[in-house]
Amino acid sequence: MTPATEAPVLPDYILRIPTGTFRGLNPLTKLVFAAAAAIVAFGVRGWTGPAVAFVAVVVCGALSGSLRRMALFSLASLPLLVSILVVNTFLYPGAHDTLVVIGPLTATWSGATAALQGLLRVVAFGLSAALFALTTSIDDLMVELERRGLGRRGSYVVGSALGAVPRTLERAREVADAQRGRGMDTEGGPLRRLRGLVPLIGPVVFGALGEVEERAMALEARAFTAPGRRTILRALPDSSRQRMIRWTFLVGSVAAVAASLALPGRLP
Amino acid sequence: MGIQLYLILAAVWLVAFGLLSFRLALRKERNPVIWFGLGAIFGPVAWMVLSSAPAATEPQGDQRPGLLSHWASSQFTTRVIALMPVAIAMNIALGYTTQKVLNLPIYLDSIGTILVGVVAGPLPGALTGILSNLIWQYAPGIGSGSAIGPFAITAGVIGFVSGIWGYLGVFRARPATGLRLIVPVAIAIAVIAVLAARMYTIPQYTDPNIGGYPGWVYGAIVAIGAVAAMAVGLFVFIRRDAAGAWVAVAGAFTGSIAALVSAPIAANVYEGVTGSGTDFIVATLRQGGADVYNSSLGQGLLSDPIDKTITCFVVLLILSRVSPRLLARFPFGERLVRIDDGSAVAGDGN
Repeated sequence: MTPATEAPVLPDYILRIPTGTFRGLNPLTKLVFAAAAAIVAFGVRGWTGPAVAFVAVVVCGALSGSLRRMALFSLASLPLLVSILVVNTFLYPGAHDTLVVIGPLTATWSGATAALQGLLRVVAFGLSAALFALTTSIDDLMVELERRGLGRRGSYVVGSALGAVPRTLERAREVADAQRGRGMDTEGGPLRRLRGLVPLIGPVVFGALGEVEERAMALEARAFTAPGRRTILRALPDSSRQRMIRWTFLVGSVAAVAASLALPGRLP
Repeated sequence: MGIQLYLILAAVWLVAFGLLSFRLALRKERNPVIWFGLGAIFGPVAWMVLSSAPAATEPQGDQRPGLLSHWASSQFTTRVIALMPVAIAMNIALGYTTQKVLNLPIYLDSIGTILVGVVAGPLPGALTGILSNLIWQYAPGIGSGSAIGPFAITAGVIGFVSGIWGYLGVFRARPATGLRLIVPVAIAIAVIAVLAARMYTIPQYTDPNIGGYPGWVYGAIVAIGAVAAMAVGLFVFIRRDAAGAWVAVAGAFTGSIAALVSAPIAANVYEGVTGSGTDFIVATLRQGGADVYNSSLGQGLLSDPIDKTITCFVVLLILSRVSPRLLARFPFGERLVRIDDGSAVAGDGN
């Protein structure tokens, strides 16, 4: 028995710290930024809120070098954007200021204005979510939240769900392919497709439920319910400046919403 | 540090809800009773979820947990914690596949939420719903860019309500024949008819200042109601299980509540549309003269009860296939397993 002569060295993956202009920030700061952008975009009505959130998110996206991928992400909301634009431009309740008449439909100025504001709002929100997703590793966020008092149950639920989603999606795709190979119709009319749901849901759900019992036992076997806290080895950098920024963003965004509600019509 | 985080979350929630109520109270046509009711539900739920669920700091030494925190923590056994991520993944995977791969005009993204609510209780159900939508919105590569995030509130309410159904034992198998089968079906059809009639005659829709719906909407409500009643009746009689009738009522109620909660979100956040097939209903209602909020509400009251009833039946079928031995180990297990089954297990098996 020789006593350990060297101090234990932490493995690389624990010590690795994200770097970069926006990426290097503490995960909590990035989370607060995304939340503040959503609050301002949705809470401050008119042009001001969506425009401010949009500009802030785009600037941060450019700084972090993920602008191109953010744009790709926001393509996913294209159906929603088209719908907002079309439904509101042509069917805005109580609007009579005609812009152009196309067949039986009349486009109105107030409808188009509301549609563009809604469009900007959704794009700003979608980009803020994409910015957060692209610049923050979920592991880092969970470590940070756990260090700040989130219980291990919370971090298990979120962390495990994130791993389970792609796995379950993959499984749903496999099951759909397998059932299609056996003649399930995924192209026919709505009723046929509805019938196709049954052989899809069954295997996915029962496969997933089968895991639950094993996981519960595995958790119990690893002292999941033991009292006391886990020791967090991975420490992410934080600073009093970031702390101040977080509070400013949080309080500022809520105050902006309150101001815009208290003074309706003062902002463009 | 932990306390601080929850205080911030609680403050944000309260301020956001207060501002929403304030804003809505400024508009005369909104029914203040609905908002008061929603506030009365939201406030305590938010407080309980925030104060108990994620952290659940273990009591130190001999300190006895209070009644409320005992009630809350009894819903979060290790088995429930293991089920929640699976349910979240189920919500996202099945919702995504239904909407994007099979291109159906229903959502089917709350099977996991209702399942957790029914087997574990209102708080895990609410938390599963909220986390599903937030993860769907914010997790990389799954859904960022889609419009699901703000509807986390709706999903939370759905999970909480389904927890109440679980507590009431709505999803327990109730084999019966003859009159004991016919009476529940009659009650179920009556309740659904009352709900449908409420939608049919709700004063906002017929008020000439707001404008009514086009005529086919009323026809559609009646037709869908009749088809749903027939489907429920057939389901109950073929399976000889009265549970189907109660589940139909639970589904219709859950859907109506979901519609009431989603309409202001869709109206204020997305100008009334959601980018899915249901938008054409919104467009039709607007053509009929309804305003942004009422066209969203009308669309929700049409789609959500149908979607949630289907979801509740899927959950009922899932539960009927899971072995009672496993079900009995969940917090509401004894309410889901028939006592005369001979297979009900005492205790929670931990």
